[in-house]
Amino acid sequence: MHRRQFIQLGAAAGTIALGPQLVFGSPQKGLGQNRDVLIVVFQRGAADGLNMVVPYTEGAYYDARPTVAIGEPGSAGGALDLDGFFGLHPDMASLLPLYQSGELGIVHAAGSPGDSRSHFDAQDFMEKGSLDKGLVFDGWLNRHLTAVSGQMAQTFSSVGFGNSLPLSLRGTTPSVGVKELGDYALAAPEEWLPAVRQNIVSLFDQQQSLDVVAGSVLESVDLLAAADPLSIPVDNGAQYPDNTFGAQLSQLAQLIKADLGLELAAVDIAGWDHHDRQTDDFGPLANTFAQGLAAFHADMGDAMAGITVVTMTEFGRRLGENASEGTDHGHGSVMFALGGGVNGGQVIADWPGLAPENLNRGDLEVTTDFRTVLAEALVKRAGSNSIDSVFPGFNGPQSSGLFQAI
Amino acid sequence: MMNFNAGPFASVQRSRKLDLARIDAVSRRTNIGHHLVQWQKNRAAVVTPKKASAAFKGMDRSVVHLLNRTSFGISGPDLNFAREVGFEGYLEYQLNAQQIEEQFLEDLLADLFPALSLSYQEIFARLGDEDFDPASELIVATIARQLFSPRQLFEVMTEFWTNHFNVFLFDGAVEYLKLVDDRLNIRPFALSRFSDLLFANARSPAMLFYLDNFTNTQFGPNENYARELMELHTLGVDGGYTENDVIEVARCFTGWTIDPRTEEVFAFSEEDHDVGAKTVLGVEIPAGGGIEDGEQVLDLLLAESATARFLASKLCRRFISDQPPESVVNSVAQAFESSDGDIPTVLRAVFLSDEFMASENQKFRRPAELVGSMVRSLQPTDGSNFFSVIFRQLDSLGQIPFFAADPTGYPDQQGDWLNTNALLSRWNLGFSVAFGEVPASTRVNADDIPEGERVPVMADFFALNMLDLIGPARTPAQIVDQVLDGVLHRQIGVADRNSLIALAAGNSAASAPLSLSAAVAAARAVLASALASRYFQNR
Repeated sequence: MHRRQFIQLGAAAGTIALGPQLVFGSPQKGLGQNRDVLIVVFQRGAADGLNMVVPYTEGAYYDARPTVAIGEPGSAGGALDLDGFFGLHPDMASLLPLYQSGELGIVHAAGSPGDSRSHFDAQDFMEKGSLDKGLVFDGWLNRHLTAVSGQMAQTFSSVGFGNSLPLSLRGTTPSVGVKELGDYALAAPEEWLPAVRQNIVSLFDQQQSLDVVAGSVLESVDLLAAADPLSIPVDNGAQYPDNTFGAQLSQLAQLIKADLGLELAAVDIAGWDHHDRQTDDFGPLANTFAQGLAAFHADMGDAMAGITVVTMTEFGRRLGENASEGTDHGHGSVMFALGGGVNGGQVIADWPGLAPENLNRGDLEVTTDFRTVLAEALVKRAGSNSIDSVFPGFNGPQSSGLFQAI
Repeated sequence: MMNFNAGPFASVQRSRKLDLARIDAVSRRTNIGHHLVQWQKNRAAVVTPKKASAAFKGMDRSVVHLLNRTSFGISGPDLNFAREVGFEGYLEYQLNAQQIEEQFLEDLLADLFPALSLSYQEIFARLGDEDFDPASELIVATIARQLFSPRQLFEVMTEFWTNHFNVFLFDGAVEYLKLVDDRLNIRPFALSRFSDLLFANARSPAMLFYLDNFTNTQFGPNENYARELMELHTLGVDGGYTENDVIEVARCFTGWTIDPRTEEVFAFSEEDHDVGAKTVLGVEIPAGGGIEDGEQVLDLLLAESATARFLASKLCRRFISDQPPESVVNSVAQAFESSDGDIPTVLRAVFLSDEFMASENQKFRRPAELVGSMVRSLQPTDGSNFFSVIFRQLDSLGQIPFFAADPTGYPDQQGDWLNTNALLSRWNLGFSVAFGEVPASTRVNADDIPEGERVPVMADFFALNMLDLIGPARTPAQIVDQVLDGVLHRQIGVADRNSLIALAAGNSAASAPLSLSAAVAAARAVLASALASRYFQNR
């Protein structure tokens, strides 16, 4: 049954509180049989991969960053050793146990092959998954969802957090946008709600994007009211950071536990554009990022076996610091992957080196295309056999050894 | 290099965050909402009769369309005036903003918000003062102007340029720089020439701070401003510049910095300027230059067709549709080039185009226009806690003035604002207006409220006088037409109108008069639906 038929049927029959089970059958038990829940965290503003995962044996790193460099392991405020070559930023210590237990993997010198150092342009490219500006208008996650679920997609199959739906989720298959679950209900007086609601259904009948979203609003409101995810407690004493990123990951966990059929989610963490005073500002944000992921991991417990989290950022920062104790726009950065299906405990890198001749205009070179990492996650963990349509024109490798096949 | 942290800002804590309670304090202390509502009432009584005559109906679609795009929402008096003077008459009236009387509003704002007229030095002198809050005063005054100024197109363009040259208000020292920046570098030029805006913003202390150019020196270049200057202010991301141009433009702007001791706060530091030769967009800028290197860059960028095209497409996207036809972008770009970026000339090319006429209902209202339309078309009758609710709504929907953190400013396309959560919030706002209850998320926290005052509900926001709204209408059909005329100002599809009539009628006949209380109740439901509908969500 198509979504719109569902809404109109519900409204016409006056069954306002129509529960999801009447339409879709029982909610799917557990997390899809053969694909993981895939969560994409976007670090907006171009996160400094060289300070998140520090190449601490590279003298060139310290030469180029007299102020903003992270010290070697063992020094005060120094990096936390990962593999004898790379070290984790000390404010990201909460991820270290996950690395050591093999559930967190890292790809360094990863990023976009595109030349752009523009935030907008580079994010646009990554989220569309195509460099062809004039040809592709929807997001890679949406094309993936359309390919694996199509008409069978449920209302909560994909969820984007924040004020704006991330571009990666925009496209033909609708997603639910969530800012704060507590406010996600129709706030009209009870005696008028059925009639007004019925009217809304009749007024949004043009089959255009606005009407489709209107339909999804009504469906998602009903499903949430029935599932009541906010009543689901945090498990295993997980400590989410007390900010937007923490709140969104916590509510994401509740949505997954509520068995609403969620299989894709996009969460943003912004503020990585550290052109100045990086020494003051980077640590707290890195801490939020790491703590949020660690808390989500703890909260989901055994279910992490069926969850894959991948992080990305539009590009990295320049190797050399600028005069403002910050770093300008660079090129290669770092991607993290977290979950039961990750070949963790390793930093995967075809390390290009930091000598001048190895840099890309002064920046860390990209040796692993972000699409290699994402394609591998989609194929091995998310049931995709449509990489050609998800990443049109991409003919690079579809595996970097970061994930185990399901 | 000027050490900004050692100047008068040494004592300022970095990045105070947007604090709704502080804005609330400003709006309560000044009782701004009450003053504005009183003023609007008086103005409405003087300007025009309350209702337009039926003769105008059906023949004024283009006027309604023009008002929808050139204002933060259609008000009855403005609509009546526009109907009298016609499409072109109203456009010219708005383009000549200085001729539009608004002395009362500016006097009121000057009286209530003394920070608005302070110089940089006067602001710096009060930095340690806990009660001094120029950022909140600027936010409240800006919302007041957007909602109440009769110079609506001027305010729309002010918002457009504020967004085009976006500076995040809570990025460190910007909090103490933006107010003067707004007064000196944006507002005077909103309907002037683009080159005036570009040159003013290059020297703007707020911009120099926000995009880090104040630390851009020959000893440590910072490319942030150079890149955004080309990508966001002039050429556009596809405007034909290279990464090398970014580096070279950054070199040209080395030494453009901030000196808090000077009147302008802008300073050019010779010793920090890179005097070597540069090549920008293929043009050689000879060695030995000073401040004129940067000025030459601005001139070069202004002369590029890509700049005209970028501004044209942005204006067409703003005023016509998310994907404006190529034809109109071309003609607007041509108007831009041939008029040397004269903004009224460019706007005429936009609004007098066939493509504009054909674009009714094609733009999704951004939050400022959604809230603005509710306020301006429904005209609240009680302003006591009006602003407490307004800025919470704008915050919840994501468009507080000066609060876009990225240099791109607030986005302008439907896809950026529309998702299930956003549409749900927008519906709920309309429900709260129609039914008189404010959603929990925007209810004022008890902690924010001085002791002894009650928690404001939507009644304080609108105190919507339903008897005024429905007038003599008593039958379901009359009620629907009356409500639609009040908030949509245009006819809607027959099926949609019938659906609303059925809603109003409930179990009675569409032509049977309802009791007064039933008529009011029906009007609330119709209003809730109308505000939720695509006719109101779009413009």
